Amino acid sequence: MSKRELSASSAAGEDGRKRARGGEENESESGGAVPGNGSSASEAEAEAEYDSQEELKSDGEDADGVAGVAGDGSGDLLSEHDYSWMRLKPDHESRPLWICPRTKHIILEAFSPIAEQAIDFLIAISEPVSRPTHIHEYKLTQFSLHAAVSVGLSTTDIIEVLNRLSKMAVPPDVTSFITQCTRSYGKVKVVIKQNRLFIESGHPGILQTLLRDPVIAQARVFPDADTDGTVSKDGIITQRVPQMGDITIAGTQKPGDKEKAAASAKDIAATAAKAEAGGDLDDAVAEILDKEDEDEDDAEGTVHSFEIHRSKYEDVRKRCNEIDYPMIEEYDFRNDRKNPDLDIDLKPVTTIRSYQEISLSKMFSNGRARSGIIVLPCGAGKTLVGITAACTIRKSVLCLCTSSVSVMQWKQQFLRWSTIKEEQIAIFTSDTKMRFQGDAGLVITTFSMVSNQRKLSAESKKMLEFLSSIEWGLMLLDEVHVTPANMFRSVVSRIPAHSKLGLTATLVREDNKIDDLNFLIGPKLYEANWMDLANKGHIATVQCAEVWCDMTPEFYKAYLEEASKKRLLIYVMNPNKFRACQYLIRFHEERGDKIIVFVDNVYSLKAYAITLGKPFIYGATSQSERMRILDDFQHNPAVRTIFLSKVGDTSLDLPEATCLIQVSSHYGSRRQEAQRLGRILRASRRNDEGFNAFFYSLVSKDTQEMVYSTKRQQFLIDQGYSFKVITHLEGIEDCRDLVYGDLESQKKLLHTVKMASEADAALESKATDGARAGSGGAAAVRRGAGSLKGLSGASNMAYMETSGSGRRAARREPVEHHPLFKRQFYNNKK
Amino acid sequence: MVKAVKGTFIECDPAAREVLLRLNSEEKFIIEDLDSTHLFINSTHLERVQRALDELMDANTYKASNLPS
Repeated sequence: MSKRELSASSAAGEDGRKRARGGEENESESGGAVPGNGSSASEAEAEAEYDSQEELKSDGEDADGVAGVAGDGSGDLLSEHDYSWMRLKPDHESRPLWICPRTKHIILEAFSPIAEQAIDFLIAISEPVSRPTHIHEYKLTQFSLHAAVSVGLSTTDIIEVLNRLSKMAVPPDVTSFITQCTRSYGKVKVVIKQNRLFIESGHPGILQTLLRDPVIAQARVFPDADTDGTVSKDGIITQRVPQMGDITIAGTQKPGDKEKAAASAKDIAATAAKAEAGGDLDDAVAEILDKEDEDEDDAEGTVHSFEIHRSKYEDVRKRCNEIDYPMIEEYDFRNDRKNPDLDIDLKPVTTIRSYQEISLSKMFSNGRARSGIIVLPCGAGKTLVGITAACTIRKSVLCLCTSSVSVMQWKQQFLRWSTIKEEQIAIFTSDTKMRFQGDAGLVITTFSMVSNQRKLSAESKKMLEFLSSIEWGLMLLDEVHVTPANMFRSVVSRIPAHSKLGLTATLVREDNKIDDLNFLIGPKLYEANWMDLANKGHIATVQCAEVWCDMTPEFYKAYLEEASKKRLLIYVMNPNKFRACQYLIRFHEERGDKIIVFVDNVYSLKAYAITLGKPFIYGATSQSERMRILDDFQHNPAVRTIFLSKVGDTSLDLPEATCLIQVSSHYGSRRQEAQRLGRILRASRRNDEGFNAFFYSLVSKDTQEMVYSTKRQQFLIDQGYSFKVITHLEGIEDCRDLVYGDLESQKKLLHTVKMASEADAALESKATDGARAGSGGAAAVRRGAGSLKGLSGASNMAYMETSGSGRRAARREPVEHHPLFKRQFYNNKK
Repeated sequence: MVKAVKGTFIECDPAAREVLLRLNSEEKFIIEDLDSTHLFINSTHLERVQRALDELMDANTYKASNLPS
């Protein structure tokens, strides 16, 4: 690895500060060391930078004095990322930051003596991207800068502190980016009144600018007679007295215009344009911004607003961000007298941990509730954060989770930590549909219940109408990374909520939809540092290892020959993997660990569990059997190992488990890897001296699995975990009694694998496990009458003559027509 | 008439040997299959074989730039 990096660095320029991307592809191969995820150019640079620095430490210099090695064609790669024009400050060694002018990434030396203070500051102004041990990466984004402004940092503060920490002067690009993002923030607000959305601003000029935009103009709803009354009532968001400002009234209050409100979207846009033309349009955007201070004084006491369509809300919000008028969605819950209060508080015995407090302080920083997402690792008390937020807002709460099991868990947690009474909690699932008593309350339901628009029972429909009729003070979204899926998007826009709080451990998706959460929910408010929590004992310390198992020649031959689907089965069933698994189980059982083995593929799950004589749970296991097996695992010292399929990924709370072996997994899903790790993070023995939990991932060498495995690890690596690569398990040869030791049995195994059908090779489908986890397992076997022909697959067969001279020829040239059709036929032919 | 062919002695792990055997079934180049880690192949095919092996290994190596986000 070092050679290529050095050559790349020497090509980059004499100060060696900037690296080619050449290092990037090598990182994944370095496996255990400190592999970066290289999700962006600058990060790769940082990692390369770091590695080469480490190697050069003996030279007593940082990268400056790299000896020239012939460049390996990195010149073209550099063109976009050549920052050699940036000059280091003379005392750069004592400053911990780099800032990349193009991508706005910030690279921090986490080993610097002032790193701690720098991290506090960076957390406030930027989003963490990757936090391995020595080098951290942060990214400046619009949203993070908005958050910084709302906690009271000014533009000059941010730039000044950055400048003080940075190894070079803050690049002008970055300065202008920060200024741009911070100056227009907070000028436009979204307000929900009477279940309708209003865009509000103290500056009429800004609203006019917004209305000039076609996207926003289309979404506009013109006020009718009723609206006028309510809009001019006391403001909900602000203390000021909103009046019907020019904007709302302009050209729309005359009776003639009311009809136009009903006209098509295009007409509305046209009207809006006219209205603007009539209004005072001379203010250029720049002028407005310059005058904003004076405006603020003038505007005191007046708030101008216009209404938009609920359905267009997401578009409008996106558009506003694009044209640099980000809307704030803040909820001034303390001054909300209109919505009934919910009598809820934390129980006096409940204490929240420091990081939970920090995350919530980000949400409520200026006494108002801001929508957004809080990212905490599994087992770090996400539920409690949600409950505390609910207790702070004290309005009606709608809580959405992923399955009916977690609905019950949330209910229990609410009762456990807060003073809410049981009759105030309503549960809405396919089995139970309750309503709370009183004006305000808590409804817990699943995403699928509220997003499913078809196939609803009458009762559910009523319930849904009820849900969308209430103004919710807070919408809690558990496992929020699932929401970008199309079916869930409608939920968020249909149900009116003053503030939304998303909770998740893994803010990653393999599609790029994670960015949509910014518009659906809000920005990432807080992301906990996993390593920090582990060091403080809130979650267990985990040793991660990737075990490479050689493919046996027979299996590899079969692997090369098979079609892609069955390849999976072959590399999962690799006898060496089998043996490694058995060896690890034995090793850890002797140490007294409780082990969970994950096998995604049901066919191999059964093969593994039955061969090794361990209990297993998969989608089709009945609820009662599951309970029995899990009980055994928790309380019976004889049962030390269980095998789980995908059903065990989430919402299984097994604090006894201390060791986790992953045999097969869902391709390259980073989320699954993190969630599985979460199963052992809450190990109850985590606070014992020197306690380590173990996470093994078994990988068949020279197969696709290697790619997937590395990809899966990226998320955890960003969180600061490092994976050791084990190419050879110490002492595995000494265990003579491992399965599949001789060639004969291996061949037999290969034969059975080859006989397995394609369906067996497929991974367990998500649909079945989701449904069954909740409802307790439908029967896997269906009994019914069928003909022998049908069972043998012959029922759809039909006898067919295929020789060329037969039917087709006959169709083209019919020999004889009935006289009735004769004329018709020949006429057509002419 | 004696025919001379230039050959290359190859040492590899069993997995790579399987790949070579598979390539051989498409176009013959292995002169002698010695044992599970050694092969003797025709030198004229060396480059092609090397490329094919590299491709396979690349396909099984994760590239950081593959990451979507």
